[in-house]
Amino acid sequence: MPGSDWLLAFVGVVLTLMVFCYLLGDKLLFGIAMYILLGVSSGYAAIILIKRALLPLLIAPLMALPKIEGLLALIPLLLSLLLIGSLFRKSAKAARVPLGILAGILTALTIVGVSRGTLAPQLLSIVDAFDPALVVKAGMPNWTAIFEAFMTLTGVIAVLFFFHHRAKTSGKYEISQPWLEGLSGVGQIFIGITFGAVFVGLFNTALTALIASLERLINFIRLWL
Amino acid sequence: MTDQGEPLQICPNCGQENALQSLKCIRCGELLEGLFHFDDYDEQEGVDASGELDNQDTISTVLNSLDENALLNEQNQAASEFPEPAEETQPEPPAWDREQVPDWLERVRQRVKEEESALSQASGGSGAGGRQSEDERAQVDQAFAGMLRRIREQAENERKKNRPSTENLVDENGDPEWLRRIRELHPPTVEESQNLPAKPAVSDELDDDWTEEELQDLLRREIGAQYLEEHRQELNFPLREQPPTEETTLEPAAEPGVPEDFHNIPDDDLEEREKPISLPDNPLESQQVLSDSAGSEMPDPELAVDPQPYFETELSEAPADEPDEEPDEAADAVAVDEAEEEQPEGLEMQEADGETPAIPPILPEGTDETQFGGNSEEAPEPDEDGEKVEPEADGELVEPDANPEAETAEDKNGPEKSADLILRRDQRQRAQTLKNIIEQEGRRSIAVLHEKAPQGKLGRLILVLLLMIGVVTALVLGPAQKLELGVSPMSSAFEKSLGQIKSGEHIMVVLDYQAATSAELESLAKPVFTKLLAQGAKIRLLTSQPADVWLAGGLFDSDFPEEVPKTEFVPGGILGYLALSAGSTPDWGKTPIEKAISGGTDLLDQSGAVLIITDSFDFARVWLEQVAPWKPGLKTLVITTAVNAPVLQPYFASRQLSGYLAGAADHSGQELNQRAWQVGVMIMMVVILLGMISKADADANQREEQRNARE
Repeated sequence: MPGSDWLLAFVGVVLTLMVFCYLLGDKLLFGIAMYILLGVSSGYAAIILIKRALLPLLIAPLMALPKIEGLLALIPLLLSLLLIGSLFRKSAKAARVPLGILAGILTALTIVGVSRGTLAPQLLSIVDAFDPALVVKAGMPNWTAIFEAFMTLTGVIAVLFFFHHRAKTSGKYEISQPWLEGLSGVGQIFIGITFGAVFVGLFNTALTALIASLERLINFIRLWL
Repeated sequence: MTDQGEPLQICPNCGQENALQSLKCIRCGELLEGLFHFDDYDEQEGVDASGELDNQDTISTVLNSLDENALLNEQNQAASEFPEPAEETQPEPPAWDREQVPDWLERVRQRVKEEESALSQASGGSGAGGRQSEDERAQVDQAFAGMLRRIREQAENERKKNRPSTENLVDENGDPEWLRRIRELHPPTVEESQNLPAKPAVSDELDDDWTEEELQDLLRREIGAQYLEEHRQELNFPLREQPPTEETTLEPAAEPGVPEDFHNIPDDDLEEREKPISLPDNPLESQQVLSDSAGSEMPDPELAVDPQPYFETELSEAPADEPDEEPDEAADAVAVDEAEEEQPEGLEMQEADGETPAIPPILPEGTDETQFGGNSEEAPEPDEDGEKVEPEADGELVEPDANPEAETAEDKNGPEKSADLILRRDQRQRAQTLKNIIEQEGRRSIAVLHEKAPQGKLGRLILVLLLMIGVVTALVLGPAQKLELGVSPMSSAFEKSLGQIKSGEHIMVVLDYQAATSAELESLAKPVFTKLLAQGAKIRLLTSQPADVWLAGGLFDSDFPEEVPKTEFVPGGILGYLALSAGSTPDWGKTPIEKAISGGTDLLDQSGAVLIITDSFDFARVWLEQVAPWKPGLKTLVITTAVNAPVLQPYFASRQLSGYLAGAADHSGQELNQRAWQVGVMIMMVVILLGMISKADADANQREEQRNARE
């Protein structure tokens, strides 16, 4: 093993012990380790951003002036300078210009993206579940597909009513219709099943990792027995 | 103690100069009535005119002079026809008071007489006129009392304004205020001053640092004797004549010598001195008694050092016709002598507030309680801070209901004393409120709506230990059949899509995860990359997270480090990916981001599939929403953590995702000890079932309680 690896291993052991000191109530060494982590991460990120973002995307095009490529690079440069103005009180309002442009673009993209990337495909997926090619198989009704399609539709509607009912009851008025209460309860069941599935997946992963780790540990101990 | 520029008043008894606001002589303790000054009256002139009387200019004289006018005399005559309560009887002013009256008083009397004659003519002198005269007198008394009150308040305000702060005052010798007062109360005699050796200034400074014990000894030694002197001087104080009462008793203090609540502040002493709820109705008797007790007939030596004997008179039992009777001084003297001889048994100890020892009442000459409207209670005396201190009539003033005598005094003194009582009751309530607040310190005062039962960590610890013990036991028992977890449809679709990648086809891998989840994701990604490399696929790594540039090396098997591609950084996050997917090359040349990423906008077009390795569902969702719609024919595969599996399922159902791996359960090469896995799942299922049962039981109990509460 080369010397650099030994050095890195030693540093790793020291940092690990410093983090473990938190379990003993010592926050000084733990804090030092955290500060080292944050400092290294920030420094590394700054270097990456300067080398791979600022220099090739902002500074390098300016070298092409007065070409159109260089002129276009003045726009992000100006917006960047305005954004730097947020550090000072007198020029803080100037920073609203690039932030406003950025927020506007992201909002527009989000609305379009959610509509085109989530709502429309999900609704089409629900409708496709009732496709005759799926619910009819060899001239006979495919009850499994039909049940799955209705359950999907019921789940979507019930969950939507649950959130609707919850929003109304948190306000000044309540919904008094019993069928809405029942539908909201069904939606709550679907939400519970979803969270249960999340918990099962998480527990399954944790249990798998635990068994693998303990098995390796026990096998290691058996080597010395 | 007194400022140089402040006007002084001279004690009529000993000649000591006192501050204008002092109510008591700092040398002899003589009451100073310099509080009431009349602007149109020259005190010196009054003194000169009287020649002998010291307190000629006091308000008591004014009140007594009003008593002797015709209006009051007529009222006294009417009193014989209409007996009045003892509290409202007016004594006959002394003869010396009639002889020596100032000019201004004569004018007042003359005007009163004129008004009286006018009223008499209007009323016709009928029998009803007596009652009307009584009412008129009450009105006069009320008006005069109001005038006195205004004068007193004005004088008090001026005194408050002019009174400097006496706290922490140190003279040129470094003597503090309290020490100077003690010295003034007990001035050194000539012999003492001659015998005293000259001490350096340092010793004087050291003397200032007296301890509490030294101060108590000094006060007990000096004030005890001084107090007798004060009594003797007070006993010589002329009091109003009044026939004796049999209920008059002389009470000694509980402890001879030093009072219990003693202090060296003359003003406060005066405040305690003015607690005359037990004021004798017969001032003359009191005068006689005090004269006898202060004279050579002081029989009990303890009484000589007793600083706080006082007289108790039950006012309610005073006869109505006493003011008209001539005082029998001899009988009074005998009665007082008997009372003094029976001091240990006959004298009652009465303490104000139950703690403050009572002080013998000192009634200025000519002071009429009825006219003055409870002057001692009315006249608030400022304390050290200059604040108005309401004098207590007795110790039961704060609880007037408990003492019928106090109620009688209250009824007699009118609404002003009731106002004092209300004020004191209010003060007491505020004190009680403050006490309650202090007692409630640190306690919860507002009920918590949803108070959670303290959940200890013991339950979680037991669960973890149970799970660990079960898994370890299952592993220790020996090798078991290897468990092959079932392949999910998503995982199967992922494998299928991965297998369709041909040799030489580009696979764009997008990284977006943190170091905390790298272990889980790397365990899933390594077999995938190994398979892809085995198929001859070309891998391109892209990331918008600076940390992933460094973390990407862990995704590949260390056995083939030469096959690890370079990670390209896409600035701008999802916007950068959007620019690569939706953007196009302009006519004037490549955009900066196209120059930063090799391939530019053709990058996605050149790729056969996109593999997203992320620990965030949001990044996968945003990719599917923003980038994937621009390349409909591009397969999207995801490797993520187990937590994101359920939320990604709808996208798989809508065919937006070609497949995904979520967590170690979807690990294709994962082999586990089946026994240990079953034990762990069983323990967790038991715990979940027990939790559900206990939760259902708790909910049922809660509903039952709510139902009972509603019923």
